[in-house]
Amino acid sequence: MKKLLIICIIALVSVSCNNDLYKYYDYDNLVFSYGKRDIPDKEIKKLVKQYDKIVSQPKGKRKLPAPGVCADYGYLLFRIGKKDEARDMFRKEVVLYPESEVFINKLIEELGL
Amino acid sequence: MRKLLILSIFCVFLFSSCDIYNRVFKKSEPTETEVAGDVLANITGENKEAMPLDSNITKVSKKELKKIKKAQNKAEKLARGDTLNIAEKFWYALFPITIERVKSFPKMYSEQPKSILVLYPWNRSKREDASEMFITNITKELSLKGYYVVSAINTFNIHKKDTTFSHEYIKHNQAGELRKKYGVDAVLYVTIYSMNKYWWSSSVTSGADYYLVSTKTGDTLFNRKTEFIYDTPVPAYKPNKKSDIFNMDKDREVPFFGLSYQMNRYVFIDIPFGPYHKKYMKDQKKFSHPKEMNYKINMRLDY
Repeated sequence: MKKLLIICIIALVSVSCNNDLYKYYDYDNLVFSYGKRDIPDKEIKKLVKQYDKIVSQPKGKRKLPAPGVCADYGYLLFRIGKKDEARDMFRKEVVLYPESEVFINKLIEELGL
Repeated sequence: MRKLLILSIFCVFLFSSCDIYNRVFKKSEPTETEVAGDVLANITGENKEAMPLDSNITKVSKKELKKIKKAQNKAEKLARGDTLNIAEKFWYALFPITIERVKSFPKMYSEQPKSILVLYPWNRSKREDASEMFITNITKELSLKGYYVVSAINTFNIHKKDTTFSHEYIKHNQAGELRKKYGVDAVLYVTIYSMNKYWWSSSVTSGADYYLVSTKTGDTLFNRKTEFIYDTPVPAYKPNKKSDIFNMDKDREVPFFGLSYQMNRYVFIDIPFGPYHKKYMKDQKKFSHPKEMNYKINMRLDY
């Protein structure tokens, strides 16, 4: 009986574990709200706080921020005037995902960083 | 006398109800078209010439006509590709033929794209924010499958600056130009045909096309056509109630966002894994769904 219980508990725990590569937190809400309407600069600061959590506390199997998240965060930092931090975020995106180099370099050029 | 009367009434009733009158007497009467033709001929003075009989018409009995129709239906079915009989259809409905991913999407394994750009969808539905919902969910779904996807916020920015950055204006044969600009290996073209919720029903429906096109060769690496119905009291998506930024409208936005979320999970459920997934290039023999998906999620509790 005890063995059965232990097996059931292990099975339940293994089923409840998340096998996703990345953890997105409130990403859906943030991105949809940004895309749906023009967000004023005051609300961009709230977006920046949420993105800070996604980038600084990465979970999931890879324990890294998801593709494109650092680029999004860099753009939002640029919008609130933090240009140095924005440039660092863009570089982090290229380090984590080398495929993004062409796109990020183009973005940096456009933003004048 | 009475009997004679009853008999005669009965005979008249039979005569008129069995259409005998029409067959015997009305046959000799001229029809409306014939009368009209004669009247016109009298007015115009032209002689109405009798139409010559077409010698190619052959009269066929009812049995032969049935045979001909059966043969025609069979030929139409074969032309459509419907070659299975009823028993075979029933069998394959219970035990569908499994197709391996390497056979369904061979070019995904030969070209091995690493980065994808989700082009702003062509929204042909009545829902204004359908494109935003789709981009949000598609970028997340493809990232979870192990691909690098150009970020959603930057995609929105590009579209806001240049509204021609959309599948409506950029066609499949222009994918190579996007490679030079954005350095991506593939571009995803999405067309949203519908996104509806009827007031008399709790179900939400959507229809869309997806084409993943290589920027190197211009070939279609992955494609799917989907019609999706979500009909269940269980919400398709649970929004974050503690969000500071923006709370989706429970009635107007959450059902549709949830539909888009569920639909894109199913559409990309069998896309080959990308380079950041541990099963990259090891899923070739796994099961793949048909390219035309008609899925209905219908979970209702019957009391």
